[in-house]
Amino acid sequence: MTRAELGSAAPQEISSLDQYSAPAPRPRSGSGSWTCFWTQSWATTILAAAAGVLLVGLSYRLSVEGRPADLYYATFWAGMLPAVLLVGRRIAAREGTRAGRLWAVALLGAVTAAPKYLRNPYAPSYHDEYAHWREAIDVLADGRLFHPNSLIPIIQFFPGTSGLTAVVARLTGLSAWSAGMLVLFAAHLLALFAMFVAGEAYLGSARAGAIAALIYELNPSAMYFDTQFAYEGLAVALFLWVIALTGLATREDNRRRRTGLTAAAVLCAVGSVVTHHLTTIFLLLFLFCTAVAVTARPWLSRRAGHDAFRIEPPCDHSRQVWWTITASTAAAAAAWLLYVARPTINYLSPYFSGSVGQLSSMATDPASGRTMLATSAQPLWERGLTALAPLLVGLLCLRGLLVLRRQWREWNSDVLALMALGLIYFPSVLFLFAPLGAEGARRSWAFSYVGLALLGAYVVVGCSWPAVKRIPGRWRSAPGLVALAVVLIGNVGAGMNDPYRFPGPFRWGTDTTSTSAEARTVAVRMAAEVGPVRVVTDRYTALQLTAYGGMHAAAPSAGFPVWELVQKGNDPSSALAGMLVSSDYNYLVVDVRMAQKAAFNGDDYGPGDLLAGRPTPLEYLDRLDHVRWASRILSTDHLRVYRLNLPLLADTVQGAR
Amino acid sequence: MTARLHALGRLVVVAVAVALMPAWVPLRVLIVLPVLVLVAGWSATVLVLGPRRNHDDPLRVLLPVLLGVLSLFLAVIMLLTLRVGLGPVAVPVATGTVAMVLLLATPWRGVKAGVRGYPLMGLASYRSRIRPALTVAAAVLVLGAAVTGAAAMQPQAVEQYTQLSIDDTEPHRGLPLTARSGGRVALHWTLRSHGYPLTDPAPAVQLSIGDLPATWLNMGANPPTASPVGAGSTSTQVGETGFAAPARPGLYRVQISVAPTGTPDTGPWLATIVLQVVS
Repeated sequence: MTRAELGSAAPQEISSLDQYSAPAPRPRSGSGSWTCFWTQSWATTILAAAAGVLLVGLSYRLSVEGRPADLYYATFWAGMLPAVLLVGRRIAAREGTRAGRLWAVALLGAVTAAPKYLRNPYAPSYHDEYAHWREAIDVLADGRLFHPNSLIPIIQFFPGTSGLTAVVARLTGLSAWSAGMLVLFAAHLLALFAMFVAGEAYLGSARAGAIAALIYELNPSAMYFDTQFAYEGLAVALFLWVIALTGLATREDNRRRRTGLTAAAVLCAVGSVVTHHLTTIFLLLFLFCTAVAVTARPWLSRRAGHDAFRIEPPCDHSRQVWWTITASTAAAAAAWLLYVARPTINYLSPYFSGSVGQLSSMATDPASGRTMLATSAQPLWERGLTALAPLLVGLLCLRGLLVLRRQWREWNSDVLALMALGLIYFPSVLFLFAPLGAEGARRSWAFSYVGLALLGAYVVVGCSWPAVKRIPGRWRSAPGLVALAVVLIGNVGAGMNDPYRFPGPFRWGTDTTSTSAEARTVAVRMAAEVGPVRVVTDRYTALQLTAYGGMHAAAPSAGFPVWELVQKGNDPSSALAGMLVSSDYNYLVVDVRMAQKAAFNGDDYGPGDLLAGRPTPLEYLDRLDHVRWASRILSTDHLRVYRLNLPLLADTVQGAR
Repeated sequence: MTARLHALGRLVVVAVAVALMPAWVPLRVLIVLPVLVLVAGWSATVLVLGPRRNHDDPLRVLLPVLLGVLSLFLAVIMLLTLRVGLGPVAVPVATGTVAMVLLLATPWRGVKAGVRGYPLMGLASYRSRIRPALTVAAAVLVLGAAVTGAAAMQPQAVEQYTQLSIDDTEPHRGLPLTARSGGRVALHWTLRSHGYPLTDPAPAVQLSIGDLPATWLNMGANPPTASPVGAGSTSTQVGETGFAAPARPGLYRVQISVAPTGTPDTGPWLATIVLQVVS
């Protein structure tokens, strides 16, 4: 396959894997119109999608009822697999119209958004959702942006999601949660459409674009992480549109249209800058690397004596467009960082430096790393596929690179640069073993999969598969569907752990299943009686006190070891007492379930927890009823709210010294 | 200005008016939001892409949604610039203003360049649009029904628990209750049940002062009352317990437990306060 066949400036339909010159099938009415997408099998595809959604709901019910993990995982995949495979088959079919593929991509978006929506349709459940929901509520309460947020302090400086949610809530009358769900659903669909447009722009075929969207949707973050009510989902959609619109602009001959597309790309980039820090960093990385590649390749080729310009667009506006968008994004990001979001650097730097340090220490001491899927309820077969998926993706990429090795001169530099950036995925998998790097690695997949999706679409559409040709006609799609199933199951398994994916009975020590109406009413009661006060509590109760009561929960750390209040059999240190006095943390909330069982996540107060992996002795908690510096002013079956007398606490610990 | 521009402008005005009224939420979700987003998005698309060249260009359908969403960002930026909060009046007005400004700018790219039809309106003939529209509507209905059914499958667990709170203001401010030695002290409390009704008119109250059991002088509790809908609890009981302060001045811990009979859980529901006895 050559660029003329697959990567021309004017996208053309490719009707066959290996026969690019074959004419596109003739639509039934109105050639190329949006209307001729419907065939009988659409009904099957839609009904399979609906049945899949119902089975996902059933799997969640089985999980809540405490049935065996094998059963509810199997039920989940019994629903999702046929739904995604049927849509995937329609997306990747050799015959079909662009409109039909686009509808199939929309259906894929709806099907893959359903599991997260059904996971918690009415209220936040994920850690980041609590923070963003609270932020949106605060914005709606007084109409101002930039509210301090104690759960994720940095989101104060990235008001894109909360601002947009507030606008939708104001226009529709929906609650903050429902408006957020609507925004994130729209962003999810927009992200897939962006990948479709990008694939079509860079690879020159609607089929390649649709397959790129399908492969992108297989990324481990797509089904649960990027569909949660948080800033990533919205920012990733804008990121993808920047890549897509830039690709279109570089291939546009009409100057006014090119200017318009460039402006739209810059607008999306600015939207991304005000929405999410990490997306902005990846966007700048992708834009800069691609711009450098587009600029350097002709120069390098000239030096090497090649005729490089035959592979670049006829005018040199490609470089101009890439650099314009890169410079505009960099300027917007720098301005935002300098004038609005200065704390971002301090927020992100520990993750970068810490994870690299942890990886290097793991090289010398393997015990310092994370144990993958250590406490997971994931069945063995899903764990196996989780390990197999990166290998399969690696083989696909290897196949693509081997073919590209012979054809790379035929392809535009931007496509090659984006594909090369996709290969970041493979080293990032290593960071999963570093405690601090795991979060960053997970977050990088939404970006690196852009390159993998382009490379994968190129391999599927552009490479010949002699082994596949030997398979009888009706079974020819089977290997592709099996690979799709393996990567889908494996990558979803790699994305989120069991408590995040499946609802369940109360289980102490997870963000999602440690929630209770009891804690919510305590938050609401405290908010009504004492207002949004500063409170010391464990990391699970903090989610609900902050989200439902607007409290400011202390962030435990080695420098602020608030766990001393409940994890020791004596009074806290004078240093902590002094810090509590100066920072005005007047309330302490204790959930006695921390004495019944060790936290599922391993700790109650974060990385510095004194009793990590162990339940808190009940006598430590009961002791609080016998100290002079704490009054229990509210209690439920499991929660105890203490009003601290901080001056008395300081006097007590100083007197003891 | 063309008649179509006038029509779209009027549509925006009506949408803003409906958004300003306490209209039915589904109406606002299905009509107001799409109108404001798509008119702004379509206008921005005309500005970006110019005259329609290709009926099959997916950008003509996708860009209005993307740019419409971005126009909501523009509305927020406009309000921030004007130092106006995102209030119930300001947001619809700002969103409508952005949509109108973009709409009024379209002749710059559209009419001058000779656009006769508009994206989203001229993609195919009227007759050929009906079938796919019905198909999409059917697909949305089927998937919507499936999602509704799947959500309805989830069991709704009702938690049953009891909440005891102290109503006196001093403990909430971190201060001790103050009493003269041997004087009478009244402690006010509220018991709230969740997921079950309180039925016991006189719950069992136990008291300890300085970790020693003490006898209360009087205990008065109102009969449990059903909480109003939306209050978050099933029933509420307010009570007061009176006791004699210790004779010796000093700081004492006072612990009170309130235990209504017939509760699904065992408690005890405790509150502890600090009592300062002065001579």
